[in-house]
Formats: sequence, C-alpha cells, structure tokens
Amino acid sequence: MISVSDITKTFRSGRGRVDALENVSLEVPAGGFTAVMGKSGSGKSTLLNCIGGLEVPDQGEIRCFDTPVNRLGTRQLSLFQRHMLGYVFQRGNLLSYLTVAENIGLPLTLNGVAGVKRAQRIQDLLAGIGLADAAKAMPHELSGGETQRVSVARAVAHRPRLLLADEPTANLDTASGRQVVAIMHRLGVEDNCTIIMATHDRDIIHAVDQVIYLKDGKTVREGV
Amino acid sequence: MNESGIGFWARIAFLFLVRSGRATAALSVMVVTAVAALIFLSALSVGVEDAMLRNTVGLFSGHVTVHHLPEEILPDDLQSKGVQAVLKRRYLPGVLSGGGLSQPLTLCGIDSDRESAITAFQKKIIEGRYPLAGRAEILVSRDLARSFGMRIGGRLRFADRLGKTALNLTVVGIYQTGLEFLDRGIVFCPLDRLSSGGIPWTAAVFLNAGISPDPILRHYRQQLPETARLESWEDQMPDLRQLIDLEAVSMVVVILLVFGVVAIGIACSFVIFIIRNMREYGVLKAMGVSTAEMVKLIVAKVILMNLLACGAGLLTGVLAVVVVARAGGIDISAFTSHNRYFAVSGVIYPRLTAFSLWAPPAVSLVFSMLAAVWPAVLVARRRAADILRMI
Repeated sequence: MISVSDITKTFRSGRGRVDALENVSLEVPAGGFTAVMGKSGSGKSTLLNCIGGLEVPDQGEIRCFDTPVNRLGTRQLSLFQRHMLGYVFQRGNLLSYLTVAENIGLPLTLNGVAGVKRAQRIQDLLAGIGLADAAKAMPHELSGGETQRVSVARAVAHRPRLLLADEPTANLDTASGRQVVAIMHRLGVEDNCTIIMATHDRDIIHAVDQVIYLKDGKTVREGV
Repeated sequence: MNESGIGFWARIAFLFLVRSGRATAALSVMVVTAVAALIFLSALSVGVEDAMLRNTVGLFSGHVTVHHLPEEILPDDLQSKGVQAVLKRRYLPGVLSGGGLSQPLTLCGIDSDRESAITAFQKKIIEGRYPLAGRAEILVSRDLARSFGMRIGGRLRFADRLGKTALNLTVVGIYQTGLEFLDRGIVFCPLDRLSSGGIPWTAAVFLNAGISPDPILRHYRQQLPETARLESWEDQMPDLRQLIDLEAVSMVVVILLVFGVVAIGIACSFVIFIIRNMREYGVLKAMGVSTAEMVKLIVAKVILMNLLACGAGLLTGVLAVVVVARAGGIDISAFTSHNRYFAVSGVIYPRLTAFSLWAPPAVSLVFSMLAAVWPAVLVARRRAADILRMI
C-alpha cells in the first residue's frame, strides 16, 4: 500500500509563494491502477514527485510498501528508486545518446541484470510495446507515441513495485494515448505493479481502479 | 548498494561523446588547438635556448673545456656517449708584436680542418682563411689587425713570457665575432707550431643537442688525472646561463598566461557541456543512480573527452614542430643581427622535450576536472525534480 499522510509542499519563486500541496492525504492499494486528476497547476506532478522521492514534502509522511520515502537518506533513496520505482515522464525523457534497447536496458544494468537475461527482457519488452524492430533506433527517430511506449518499457524493465507516470499522454493524440495507457496497464498487471498516473485526460477513467481529484493542491474527491 | 563500476559508466560516457558528435567536436577543436599551441610554444622556447647556446658555445668554446691535459691522453679518450666531437687546442700566453706595437694576449694552436668541420668560427672569418698546418700563419681579429695596422700578408712576431717560444707568423685571415674574449685577447695559429716545449693541450668538447654537460663532467672527473681542470660553458659564460634562465622564465610567464586563458576557456566549455545535459542527469537520478555513480559518469566524460582531444592536440602540436623544424626553422635574423648571442645564425628550430609533451595535456585535464566539480556538486546536492525543473 502507498500511504500519503498530511503532506504539504510549498515553492518560493519570483512569483512569490506557491502552495503546491496542502495537507494532502490519500491511500493507494497495492497492485491497483490509480489516476490523479486535476487541472494544470493542481499539484499532480508534485504529488507524484513526492511519492517517488524526487521531491521532499515540507511536512507529512509518505510510506511506500512500509518504506518511509521522505525520511530516507540519499543512499537509501537511490536504492529505493532503483529497485522499487519506475517513472514515466511527460516528455518521455529517453537518454538521447542511447538506443531504444540501451535505454530499456539501463535500469536492468543498474539492478545487476546482465547477459542473456537482460537481452531477453529487452526483447520481450520491445515486442510487448510493438517496437521489436526499433531496438537500434535512436530516440530522435521515434514518434511521440513510440517514445512514450519506450519510456514505459524502460520504467517497468526491472519489474518495480511502483510505477509513477506523470501525464504520459499529455503530448499524444487520443489513439496513441490510449495505446500507451493500455501498455502501461498490461505491463503493470503482469508484474503486479502499483500504478499511479497523473493526467487530466477524462477519457482514460474507464481503465483505472481509482481516481483522486486534486484542486489547488488539495484533495477534493476520491472515487472510481 | 550494488553500484555499477567505472567500466559501465565509461561506456555510457563514450556513447554520449560519440553520439553527441557535433558538441563533442566543437569542444574538441578548442582543446586540440589549445594543446597544440601550447606544445608548439614550449618547443619554441626550448628552440630559442638551443639557438643561443649553439651560437655561442658552437662558435668556438664547446660545451666543456678540459685544460692541462698531458700528451698521453688523446682526443679519442674523451669520446663518450653524448659527445659530438673533441677538438685539440694549445694555449700559450705571450706578447704579439708588429708594426712597432706589442700587446699581451694568448696564442691558440688549432687544427684548422677539424675546427672548420665542427665549429661555426669559419663563418666569422671576414677576410682570408684559416692558418694551414705546417705553415707559420696566423689568424687575427679585425680589432687587432686594425691596432697593428696589419692586412693579409702582414708579419707579426709572437714570443711567450719565458722566452722559450718565438714565432714569426704571416697574417692569412681576419675574423670578427662580436664576442669580447675572441675579438680582443686571442689569435690563432696551426696546432703544430705549438707542439714543442711541453705545452699541455686543451680539449674543447662539443656535445649533441639537448645533452647536459653535467654527466660528461662527472665522467671526466673519474677518468682524467687530477691536474686536468674542467669547465662547463656555464662556468665560462655565466651571463649566457642567466640569459637562458631569463628567457625560460619569460617564456614560462607567457605560457602561463596562455594556459590561463585557455584553461578558463576549457573550463567554461566543459561547464556548458555538462549543464546542457543536466536534464539527463535528473532522469538518471530519478532512476536511482547514486551520487557516486553520477560523479563517475561526469569524470569519465571529462577524462575520455580529454584523452580524445589531447591525443589529437598532441599529434597536431608534434606535427607542427616537426614541420617547422624540417622546413628550416624560424628565421629571426632580422632581429638578432647585432646580438652576440645569435652571432652565427638567427634561425630557431623548435625542439620537443618531455615537459612540452606532457604539460599541456595535463593542464587541460586538470582544468577540465576542476570545471566538472561545480556541475558534479550541483547534480549531487539537488533533488531529481529540481534538476528536471532547471532546463
């Protein structure tokens, strides 16, 4: 289970103080697919970043499978992110100087998976996302939808327990977006992975188990 | 934590450099140019020192002079590794008379054929020729010839202080070097004129380029009798030693200034090179790449980049030195015609030394590593989300 208790996150910038999250609490069951919905600036990305340890909340506690993520030291946090977490960014963020196969293989290498096992896993994932022939392609040779599919494959390659996806369909057309969500769902289910996806796309509600609505940094509603 | 080794990160760094071809090439050009220029400057500095030494020592005196050598020791006995040639000479102090005037000076007996083959003195004979073996001939400076009112064919008489040797000699050559000790206090005759009377001989030892006189002096001290007196060119010409040191210091200052400018350029370029890809460090951090691994990646990039660029710079610099040296050097005669330290030739041949080869790449690497510290600290201290928000 993912448990978020009373977290607050404030940013200070040239525009003054911005309360990105205010006393947010929620629970996400293990193995489920949860969507965090809300308008732009509602705090979706900040919430995901806090859950994944990319950001530290100013107050409150986050526990992922009994690990207090916001209280981990640098080394323990890296270990948690390496083994337990997969992250799909809004813009894919594939490493531009690695091929598709090398991008997918990176978390495997980081987790000590090598040789035939690694090659087989990459091949399976490429087939799973419909890009079996793109192993040696560079990221700039892919379309937006293909980039996000590779990004999903990279995020789940090492079979993490938690997959965070920050608006993975935001820059895609409807068909490509649905394809990415379907792939994410399928690959997540295969490994019993808990998925939390930030989105403002209402069309994908049918694919998720739970929806959490955010408005101005506060939870306004939970439901299906 | 099961951290990935430097080999893995070196491979990632290599892929980054190769596949970011244009950025790598742009930065490489700067490092290559800087390293090549610094190598050439260092070689040129050595070349200037060589030229000054060659012009003074090579004119007559040699790098090492051994006085008071007994007859049983032969010039060949003084040959050793690094020695180009040994010239046999005899010095006899006395008085030179002619035209109603007399002047105390030293008569030097020389082997004209060997002298003209080894030294550059012949280039300083402005009239006539060297005195020939077996003949009672004398070579005098222009200043002395003027003092005595002598021309080619004139007659001079030399007598030593003890009256054991008296020679009547015909002037066959007049020279001008611009060096005080050669133009004022010495005249030359064939070696065989001074072979009798138990006058000890003096060896003028000429060394190959770049050979220090110190090991040769140590070798001679072990081999030669205690009566032999040894002098290096530094003992004979302390002013030249100081001038060469001064030139070296000046060149070091110039090189340091160039190093400074180049180093700042290299450092800034590396910072831009790393900052430009900051987002990718944020992605890696989100994937659980540790701080130590991130530092390994940055260091691997810097070192690999330097290895590639410095290798090319080294090659370019060496090539430039070789081409210039083989093409006849750099002729600065127009600026040295009245300089006694360039008495024979104003041509500079750049020469590579171990220092000129390792110092520029080392400086490039050190400054690049220093330049990488700030981005590395930035990556290490910031959260992944902060880095991803930066660009």
